[in-house]
Amino acid sequence: MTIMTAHKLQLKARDFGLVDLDEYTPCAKFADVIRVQVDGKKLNEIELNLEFCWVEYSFTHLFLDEALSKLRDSELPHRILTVVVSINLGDARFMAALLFRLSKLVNRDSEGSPEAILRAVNFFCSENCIKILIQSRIVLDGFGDATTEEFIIDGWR
Amino acid sequence: MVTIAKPRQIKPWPDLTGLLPLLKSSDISAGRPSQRFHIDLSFVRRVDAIGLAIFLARLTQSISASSDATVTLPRADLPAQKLGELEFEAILKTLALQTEEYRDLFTLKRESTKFRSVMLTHLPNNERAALEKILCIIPDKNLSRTTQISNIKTKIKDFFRLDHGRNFAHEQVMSILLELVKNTLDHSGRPAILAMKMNVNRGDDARFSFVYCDTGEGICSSVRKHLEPNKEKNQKETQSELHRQSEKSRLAEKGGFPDLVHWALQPGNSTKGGNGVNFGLGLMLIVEASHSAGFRLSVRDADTVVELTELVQMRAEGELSHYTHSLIRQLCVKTCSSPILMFHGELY
Repeated sequence: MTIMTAHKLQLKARDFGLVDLDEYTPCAKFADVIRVQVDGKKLNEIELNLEFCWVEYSFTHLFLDEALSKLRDSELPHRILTVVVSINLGDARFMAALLFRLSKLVNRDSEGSPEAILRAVNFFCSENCIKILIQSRIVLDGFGDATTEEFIIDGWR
Repeated sequence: MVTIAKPRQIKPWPDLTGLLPLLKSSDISAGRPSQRFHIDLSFVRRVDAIGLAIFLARLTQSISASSDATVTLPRADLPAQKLGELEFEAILKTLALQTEEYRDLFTLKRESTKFRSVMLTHLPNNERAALEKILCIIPDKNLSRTTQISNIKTKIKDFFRLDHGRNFAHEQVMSILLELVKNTLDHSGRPAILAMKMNVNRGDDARFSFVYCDTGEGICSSVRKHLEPNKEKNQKETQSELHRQSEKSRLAEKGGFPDLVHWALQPGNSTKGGNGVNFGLGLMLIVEASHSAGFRLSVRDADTVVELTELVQMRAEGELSHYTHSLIRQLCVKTCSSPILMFHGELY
């Protein structure tokens, strides 16, 4: 399902049948979806919902770099990338490593340690006035209520 | 005259369920290396994936010098059937044939044809069989790290997909298990055995539990080796470097389980910090992710067991700012069975 308002785009990977986001092809397809959906520079918020998807760092950069480059090129201020995942590693460093370890846009020096990756993501966000919200929603039993923890990398400050 | 020595007898605890097989002592005797084994399961009464995995891990520790094993299957039908469901025979073959080191480890000789007949006459109930699974992680130098991780990931996914009601957070648990697999590939280099058990109609049982036995040298031993002083002394070492080195030497020489686990839980500390893949956050990540998933996670290494998630729980309750040494010491319980590195997670 795609929800698009004036300045915001919401995409749910699962709705496109893209669950195996630990593999190249689904990640590349999701990047294509973002490329097609974001038209022009009048968008300052993208939400990528990766709930109930297998997420691992190997190929996440394919679609995250696409989303971040669209936001970077936006003409609007206060840009936000929200990523919703079903994984909570309990620490912003681990979450940054999970999503951005191989990012060519954010982690340009190919840093390996979670601390260094988080630093690189912070730097990119500050440079481009982007805020990244990583929402970890864990459903502990069945499809019931989720416990949510939010990790914020704030480039607005 | 040629004399053939009797094979070494390996008998499991009759209840191959849960953590009970830990009670069994090691079958290894340093002074009596044996080339032939007889795995006698005649009196096994109950089997589950967790217990069988521990037994198999112990077996893998015992048979590294072996080339020949004979298996006698349980007399009772139910445990024999269960072994069939858990693909015991295939696992033995996997352990035997996947790596050069273990090639031809087993020559399976059945003392009866019972195993085969049980498998044919009592076809496993797919749903029931699917709720327990044992996977072997055999580091293979001929395959890339990515390929090995991908292979094991596919098998775990296939198992999780059988949980239609999503009784636990699949993606989160996957991240924990993969971290354990990565540790085996990056640090241990020896086979590991993962058992997973799902209880859909669970009653009082855990809705998901796993055990991960790594037959490598374990956390304490590898940390101790890593911290041992460098024999080649550098004349240009500064005072602070010398002090740090002496601290490490002291830890390597006198450190107990709590000291070494405390070291392993500090960010940036790794026995393989420079391999460009694993940056010493593995254990910490496993603990944090397990806590977020609602797990009770314990690790058993050397002679001690410690409930790792309790560390995070106490931090959450404001009792400490980080994994303190004294708390780790407080949570450690010494055991008397032979060493094995084992992670055990339960989700109620």
